Amino acid sequence: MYIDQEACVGCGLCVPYCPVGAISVSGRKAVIDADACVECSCCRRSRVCRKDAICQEELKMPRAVRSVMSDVFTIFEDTGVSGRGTEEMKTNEVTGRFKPGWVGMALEAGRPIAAATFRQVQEIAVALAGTGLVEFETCNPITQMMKDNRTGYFREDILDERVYSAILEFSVPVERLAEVLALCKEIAAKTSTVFSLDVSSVTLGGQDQAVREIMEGAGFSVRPNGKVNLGLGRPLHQF
Amino acid sequence: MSHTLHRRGSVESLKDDIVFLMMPAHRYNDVDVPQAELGARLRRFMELGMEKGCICIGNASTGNEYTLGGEQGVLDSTVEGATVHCVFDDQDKAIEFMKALKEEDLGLSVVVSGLFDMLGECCRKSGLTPHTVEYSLGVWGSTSQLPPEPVLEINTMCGHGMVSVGRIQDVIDKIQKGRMTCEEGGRELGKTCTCGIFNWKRAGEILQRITGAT
Repeated sequence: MYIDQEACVGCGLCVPYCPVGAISVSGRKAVIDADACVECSCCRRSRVCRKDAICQEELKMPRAVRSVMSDVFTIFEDTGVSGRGTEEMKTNEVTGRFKPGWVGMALEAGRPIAAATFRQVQEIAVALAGTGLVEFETCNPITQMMKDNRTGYFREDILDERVYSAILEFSVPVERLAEVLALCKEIAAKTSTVFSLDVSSVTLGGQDQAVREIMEGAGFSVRPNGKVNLGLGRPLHQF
Repeated sequence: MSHTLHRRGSVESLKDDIVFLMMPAHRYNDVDVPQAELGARLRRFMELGMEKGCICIGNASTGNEYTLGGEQGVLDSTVEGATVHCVFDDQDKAIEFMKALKEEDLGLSVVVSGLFDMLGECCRKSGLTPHTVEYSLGVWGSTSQLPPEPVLEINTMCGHGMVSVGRIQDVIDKIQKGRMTCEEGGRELGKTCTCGIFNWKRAGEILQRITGAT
């Protein structure tokens, strides 16, 4: 994103709209800090600018990954899902992505508010991959930007690109969940950004309750709110 | 992504916050179901939500009621492959919606976000059985970068983070100066949550708590 300096009247109305604080007014003109901007388009889409001075240049790689990860309306071709997300548990009754005996985990680096560079995301991914405990989800934009999804290393050209958040998604056998959660605590102590953490489980055989007990036993407070797949999709996956 | 998952707040504050999502399973439903039929089912989901009293609808691929000019704009923009939403602020209305979804049997995946205890009761009363659950374990790492909790409660109602801290503070400022009511502030903040999952009513209540205004 950039501000058309001729059109801008320096009113500053756009400044608070930026989710990562990349807009400021300098010399009576609004400017966007290109290093801080995550290309989410929130400023332009808000229609706050009365002079239509907020502009989107054509994005090329590697900067284009900012938009893929941060702009809600950018669809990643391989997942077919708008934004940085995936279908994860949302369609699990059809896809069978998370099976009995396994949990799905998502570590979303940068969320909320702090944002993250791929270098920060890589530090986390390498720590996770190094244990051999996790299998990164292949149908996920972040995994597809890795040089090797067994190591967690990303393409070097994108390491300094900053995104609103990046979701590391992986599956873990239920019996190894406590080990991975302990590792997440270690990662939390080292990272310079934040991450939101979640765990998905099928309810079959009461696995969801067993998983909850493991998480609490590992010293995690499970939030009272979460998501429930109502099992209405068809055809139903047969486990 | 888990854009409706990591909502912050107390049990008391979250009890009036229930978000439904419908989406086709990529590589399954888009193979088995004709495109026009998929779009019709997604639109029907939102129409049912409106009939049962949801407070807003949205489409993660095209926009919300503000960006698309109202409910009809959201419906008209919805075609195959979309992820669509209905937000409720009342448990009984949510139960009626779930009963209607069961009855209509649209055949696409539906996920509901809210308090687990409440969702369990909603499932029992509507005759639905949870298939998969997703737990939030909160925020970790360099959390000193985060704003005060009430601001975070508002911010996390847009999981994509498009309701900025700066904008929340701006609206708080306007309310404190008497230039906006809390409800107007909640509606105003919801405009940049393009998926339409932002519960503007709850935001208004949080703004009341923050400002002491009405």
